Amino acid sequence: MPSETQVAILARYRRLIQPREREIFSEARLPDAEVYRPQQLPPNWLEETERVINASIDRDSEGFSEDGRWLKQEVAAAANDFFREAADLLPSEPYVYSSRQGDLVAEFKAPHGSLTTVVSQHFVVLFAAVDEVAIQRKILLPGDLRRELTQVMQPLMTGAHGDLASGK
Amino acid sequence: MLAGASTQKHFDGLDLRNFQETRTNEFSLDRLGRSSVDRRVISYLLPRGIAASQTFQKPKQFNGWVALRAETLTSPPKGPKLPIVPSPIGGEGLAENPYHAHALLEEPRDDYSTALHLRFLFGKYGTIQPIPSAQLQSEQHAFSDLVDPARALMSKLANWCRQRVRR
Repeated sequence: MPSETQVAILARYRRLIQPREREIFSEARLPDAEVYRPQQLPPNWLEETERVINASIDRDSEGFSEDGRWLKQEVAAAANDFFREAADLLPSEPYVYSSRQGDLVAEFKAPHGSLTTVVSQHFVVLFAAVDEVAIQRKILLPGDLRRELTQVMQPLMTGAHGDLASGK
Repeated sequence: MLAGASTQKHFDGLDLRNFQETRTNEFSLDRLGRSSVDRRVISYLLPRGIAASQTFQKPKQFNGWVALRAETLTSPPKGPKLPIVPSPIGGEGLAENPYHAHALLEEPRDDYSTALHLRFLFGKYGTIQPIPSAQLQSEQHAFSDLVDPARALMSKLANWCRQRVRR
């Protein structure tokens, strides 16, 4: 008969060599991608841009002026949604003004060109001027804005010929 | 700049609103010369440009032209071709402009693609044609000499109308 000490040592040894089971706190198991979803940090200019948009809403819908200083209320709401959804993909702090129709025009500078976005109540237009090339997309809302913007932003960040362009 | 923005980073590009034509499908142009910018044409057009800048509800400052070769519009490297039609404007004084032309826009006017395309062409291939400062000053003085009395008269007329209404 093994002694109590021997039994205790054996039990400790078994605990050490046995693989530990993962602790499960719920029956419904979540995929890792869901648990560890990457959190997009908003850029530091987002708050100020939202403030500017909200402070530029034209309350007098009948007497809308075309001086580029005022936004329609619905457009301001769409613009806030646009920036909240896609600000982390945008290249820089925008220069914002309104179009003749009262839609928001945002101008961005990027390493290889410039990006102009026009945000309306029903659509977003993306226009990238990359080196000598112009790329244009029109996204009807609600659309896959992030996917389209990612595609447009790629040449703006790496150039029309990508990372393999001479001088890289 | 938006009304709510006290300060914004400087934007050195061309304002999209200058390329939005919402009234007709004709984008107004001036023919600045046959093969290059002609100084005599610039001198002729300058007072007309200044006069046009004052016709807005809030008068603007006229700073010059963006000059672009015609074939860049009629056969651009990419995007829709925009035919140019000479359209001299008859009339007297500053209303007359024999160098006027327009580009025919095909797409719907409320669409932004034409305005963005036009701005890309002018921004990428165009050159800024500034006004000689001495000439600008003399033209602005001459124009304000004409406009100021007219404005004073209009203001007096408006005051007179208000007084009549109060009575």
